[in-house]
Amino acid sequence: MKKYIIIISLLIPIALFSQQIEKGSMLIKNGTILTVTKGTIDKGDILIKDGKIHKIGRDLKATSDMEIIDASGMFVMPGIIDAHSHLGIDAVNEATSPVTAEVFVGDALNPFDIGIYRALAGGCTTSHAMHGSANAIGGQCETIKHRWGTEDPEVLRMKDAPRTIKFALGENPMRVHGEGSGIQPATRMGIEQVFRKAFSEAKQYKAEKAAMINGVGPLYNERMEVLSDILDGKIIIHCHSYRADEIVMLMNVLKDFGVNKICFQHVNEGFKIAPELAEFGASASVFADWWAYKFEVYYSTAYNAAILQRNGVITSINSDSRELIRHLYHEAAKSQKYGGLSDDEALALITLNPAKQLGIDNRVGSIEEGKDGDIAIFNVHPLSVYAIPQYTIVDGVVRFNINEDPDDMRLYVDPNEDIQTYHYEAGHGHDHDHDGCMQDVFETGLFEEKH
Amino acid sequence: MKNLIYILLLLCVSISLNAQQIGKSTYGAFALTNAKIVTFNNGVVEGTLMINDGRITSVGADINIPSDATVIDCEGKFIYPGMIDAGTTLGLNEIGAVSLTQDANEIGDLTPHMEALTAVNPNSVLIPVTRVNGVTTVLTNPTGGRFPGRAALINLHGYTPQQMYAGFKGQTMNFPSSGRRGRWDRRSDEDRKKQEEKNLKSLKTVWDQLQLYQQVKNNLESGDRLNYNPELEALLPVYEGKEKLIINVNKKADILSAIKWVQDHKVDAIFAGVADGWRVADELAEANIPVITGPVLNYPSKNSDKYDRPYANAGLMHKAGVKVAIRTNETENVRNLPFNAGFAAAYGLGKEQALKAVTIVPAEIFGMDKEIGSIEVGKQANIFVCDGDPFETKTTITHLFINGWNVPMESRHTYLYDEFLDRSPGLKN
Amino acid sequence: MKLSKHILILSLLVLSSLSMLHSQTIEETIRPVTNAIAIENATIISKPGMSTNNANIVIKNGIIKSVGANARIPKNAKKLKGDSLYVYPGFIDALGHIAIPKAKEEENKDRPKSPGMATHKQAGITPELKASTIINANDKTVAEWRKMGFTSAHTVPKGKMLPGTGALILLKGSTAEEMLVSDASSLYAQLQGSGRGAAPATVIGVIYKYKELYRQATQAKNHESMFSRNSVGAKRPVYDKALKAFYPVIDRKYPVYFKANKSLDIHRVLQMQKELGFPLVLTGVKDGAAVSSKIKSANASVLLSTDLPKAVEEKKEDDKKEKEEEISEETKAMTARKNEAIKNAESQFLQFNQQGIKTAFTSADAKSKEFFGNLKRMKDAGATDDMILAALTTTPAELLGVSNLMGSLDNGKMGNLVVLNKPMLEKGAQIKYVIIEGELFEYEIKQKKAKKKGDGEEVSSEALKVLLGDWEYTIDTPDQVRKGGLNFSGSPDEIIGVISSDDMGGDTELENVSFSNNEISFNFDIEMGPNTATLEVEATVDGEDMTGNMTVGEFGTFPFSATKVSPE
Repeated sequence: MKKYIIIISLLIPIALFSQQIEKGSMLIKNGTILTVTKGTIDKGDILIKDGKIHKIGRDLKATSDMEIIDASGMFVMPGIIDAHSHLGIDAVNEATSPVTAEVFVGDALNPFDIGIYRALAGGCTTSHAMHGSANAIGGQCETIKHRWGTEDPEVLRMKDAPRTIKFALGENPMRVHGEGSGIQPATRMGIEQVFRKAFSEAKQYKAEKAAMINGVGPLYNERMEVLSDILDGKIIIHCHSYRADEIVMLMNVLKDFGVNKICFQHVNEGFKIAPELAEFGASASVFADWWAYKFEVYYSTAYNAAILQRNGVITSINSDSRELIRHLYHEAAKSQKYGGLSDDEALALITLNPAKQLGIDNRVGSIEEGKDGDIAIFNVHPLSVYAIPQYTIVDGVVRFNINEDPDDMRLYVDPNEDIQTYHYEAGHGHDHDHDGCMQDVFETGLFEEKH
Repeated sequence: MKNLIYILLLLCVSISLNAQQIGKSTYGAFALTNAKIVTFNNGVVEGTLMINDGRITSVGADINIPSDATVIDCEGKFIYPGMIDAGTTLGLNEIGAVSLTQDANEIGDLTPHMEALTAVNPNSVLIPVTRVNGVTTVLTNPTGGRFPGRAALINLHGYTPQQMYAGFKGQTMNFPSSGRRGRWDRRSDEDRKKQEEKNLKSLKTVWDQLQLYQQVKNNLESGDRLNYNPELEALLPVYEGKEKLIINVNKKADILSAIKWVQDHKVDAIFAGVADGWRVADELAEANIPVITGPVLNYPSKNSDKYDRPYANAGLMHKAGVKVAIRTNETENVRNLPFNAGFAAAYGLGKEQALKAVTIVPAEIFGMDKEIGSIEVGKQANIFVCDGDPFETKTTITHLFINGWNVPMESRHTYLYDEFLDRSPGLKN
Repeated sequence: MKLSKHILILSLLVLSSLSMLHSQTIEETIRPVTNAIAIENATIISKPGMSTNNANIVIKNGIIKSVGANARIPKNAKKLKGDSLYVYPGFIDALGHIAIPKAKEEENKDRPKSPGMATHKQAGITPELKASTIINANDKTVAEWRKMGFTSAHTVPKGKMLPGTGALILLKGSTAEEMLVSDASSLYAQLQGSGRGAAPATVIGVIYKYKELYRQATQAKNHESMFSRNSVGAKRPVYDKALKAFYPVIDRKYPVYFKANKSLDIHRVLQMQKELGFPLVLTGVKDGAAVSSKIKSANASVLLSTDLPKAVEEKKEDDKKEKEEEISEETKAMTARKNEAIKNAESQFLQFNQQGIKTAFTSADAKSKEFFGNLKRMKDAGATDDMILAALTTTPAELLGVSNLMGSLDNGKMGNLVVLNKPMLEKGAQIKYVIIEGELFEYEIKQKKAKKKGDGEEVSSEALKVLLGDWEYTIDTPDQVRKGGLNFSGSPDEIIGVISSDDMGGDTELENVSFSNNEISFNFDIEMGPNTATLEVEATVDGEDMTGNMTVGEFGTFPFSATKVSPE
């Protein structure tokens, strides 16, 4: 009897632990450390303990149980962060209404998405899994950490990351609802009114809730709950946008409703109104060089990031693509070609700045003691076109190691699928309409990705 | 004196930038001095490169500079041959989502009589954006259907398609594929197989008709009539082995069946795309069919594929003995050709071969290596001057010559940068 | 299969004698002679782990009267000789769509003006729909699954997100009322959106909507009870039938049966359950072993689908040697991983049992013909006979709260049983009788020919290959040429056939498929209104061609031909 109790008591903590997030300890030795916030350390060591950066310095000692990575001749940078991605989720657009604040992509996380591993193979450790841009007010997004290997969607979540929501301006919501369903908004004028109506209704809902009569308030409404939280500053807005006028419009609307947490996404014409963005305190997350794939990005410049940065706007470079997320270090490097940003500035575009935009810069985005042990190690300087990621580490756990990288890294194999299946068009350069944001909208309505 | 001209020239450039005027290209005699000149037959030559009347007239250390030549001091800089993107839709398409600006894809599966050169828009905003990154020449090709039309090699400078034409045309073909076109393709395996068989059958019909067409055409007697048949007329040179056929093919099974088709029909073929090339590299090498692969910056097409396959593909094929050029298959971002080459270089192709894959190799594949693709006396002056490795993002290109024209380093992107970096008025009037 | 749109001679059937189909057969005319039935001298497995040899079982008025070696058989009982037979409790389908007709097409046409303005009905939110109100006693699924030993079933409406409320039925009776045991046994839910036409369209839309409805129902229920205590000056509760359908779940009177095929679906449903705290049964599980500890700690039960992926192909030795060279390393590795996934699917039943999770089976999305074969694969993967029997009897009875009525052969329980010639998962086991509430259904035991080498009668797996795969058939009827698809799969022991046609949008399983010496024969039923007609096909297979005839009762015989489209 006693024996059984011992066995059971041994099993329980294991069972509990199995659903917990794996955190590792290790010593990275002798690398060129690009801290992003505190300059470059030559031949430096980083000691990670239980998933956190414990110490940065020289000649640090590992305990016997620690993994040691010899980074001699290599470049060590903070894990890359993508502020705009659609990896790791099984549904992107609930394109059924101009306002869908009620839906949450975090309800459909997919840790089997091979794109996560491929992002890790590009040094990317954290991404912002976003709802699409079909609706003026889209769904809530989820910040995920690339803990490849887990089969539990809960483990992907970056716990305690602030809540975020997707907004969208311009052609996409106009196309889906105006052209597609014949309802407002069909114009940029209409889009403004979608926001004003939604926020006004939420204010009324809040008031009704506050004035409950005999304990009976308004019928629970998830959309109004979420919109109320936006009004209360509990959710950061990430708004798909391109044209200068529409960006100014949204800032005006937000001013009227007392909302100020916003990051504009894509924001191809952000450079035209960089002073206004800076004054409002809005940040910007842009493509390195995508343009001309639709009319509202025809008057673009690849110098966008540099102009925004120089005008004091917190700027990041994102992927919005399962391809680009594989080489964000290269995308950031383009800011040196187009506008001559310094190495630290360019690296901040894919580390500290997106961390700030997601409200997680207290945990990730630079190599500092106390931050998460999220690290990317390259053979040469990561801003070189010849850079090849060697190790990618999340919470002190090696999740990508170029020396231990078998061909087939799938976590899930469909027993019904033909082994010759091609999942993406071979040789086709882009997400098919150049716009990852519109996934689910023009395909079938029902999104049932075969993992 | 030379210095004075140089200063005046600089002044002109800066004035034109401030005034936001589009700079004009200049022509004539140019001496690019004190440069490190990257040639393929003589290695890196330190000295002067002379351009006169559109051609490279001399390359070397001790060059006599004529007095009328514009001298550009390239101290500390490199001169490279202009890059060639061997597969784009540049000039044909303008704005992706605006269908009326899209001229690459004509209706119909059999449209080999469509001429890309006809619809090249010399004033496309995309062209200056592309060339300032060192891409001087591109193959622009029609898309869609089985035989989309005839592609044309163009230099990215000129005011009419004819001024831009760089001397090569080739028919194009999308080889029938049984592959899933992407994650939105929900056709069953069976449906796709059926479709593939149907497509191969229709291909046979085309070739049977070509045989008949040739027979009738060659045996016409007075009074006989050969029906107007522009499609067959356009394909006849391919049928007769007199014109190259650029075949887009990607999937392993499709590549193998394309090799067989090419051999059976004795077609002078170039393969394009070839995403699965690494899977069948030996077969490709043995068939001796040149390959234009890309984009390199691409996503693996199978979930079970190693993540670096698209990066490594060019290198793996080259190692097996395949002649490999690199393309972007792009429109507005053909400017990323050097970065595609850079990734291929890093993942196994090597820097030197990657440079060749965007210069001399495509020139050879198109049979234009007497004219372009390297820095050699007598060739078209398609070159650029830069301050470092041509694939590195940090490198700045300072001068650009296309067909002997000194082209200003300007584009919509630089104009907008100049106007908005320090906007006026700023926040307050 | 609906005749109206399908194969044959609609005109012929309608214009000739519909009455023929209506008329009762002689067998149907004679009423039961007695209210008692008994099986003598059989091996009786009265519940998992309890087996008695040479025993009798007596059923009177539909109730088990006595069981055991000494059970007395009344004189008026219809006696069935049980020598060498095995008697099991009747199987219970823990969830399925037995006797539920296909959704009507017109519902698809009812589209909202814009997707965001969808009504509950358009959105697939009809939790108030009771399965009991749409049951069709003549639906062919009743006979199909009864033939596999199922005597009762928990049946739920088909649909999208919230199709409706389940009912417990017996697989006998000529009206819904005769079949019904209980008309409210569950709330059935799926993660399936309605497509782009109506919100919620996607899985994220469904999850939010489910949570919102559940919270609204809790709120509305509290409001109602508050209002009933004191209505003076209080706001009137809103009447909402969808919300009311949640009340029994909130009161924990019955669980939500949530469809969750794959492990990710299970995670998503468990996350909702964690937030809202409703009693939960996961149904349609095909790939969930990896989540079993999470299921266990959520105290949820599992209904495993009896559908399994196609079994791993076992290659013959000489085959192997020949092809070894041609197969690339990549193909080998991929095949190995796929085979591992198939093995996992086969063994997950065992794993759930080992975890101590209540596990039963669901017939939804499964083919009845593959039922025993797939159970055998689970047994080969390590499951015991008792585990499987429990999942078919005692466990579903417990989950459905009817352990007092069914699930074992104890005195006083319903006379639901199934009788086989051999222990149920033994090779060659066939069902001889199914008894439902005392009513007898008898099946013919087919004598399998002994396998002998060189015996032309028994088809080898090699010879069967000619047949297996997809075919396209053509039938020449007087009014027009009909085309459609045929698929054959399975092994010499059990050939499985399915017929489908483009204009019908559904598959029908073939019956009595037999194949030897390249002669194929099978039959299948088509429904026409309340009637069923049987179509019989006999044909010869020659390479990729099949030619023969199709006979439709007395209406005539028509040329039938098919060509092979793709091998298996």
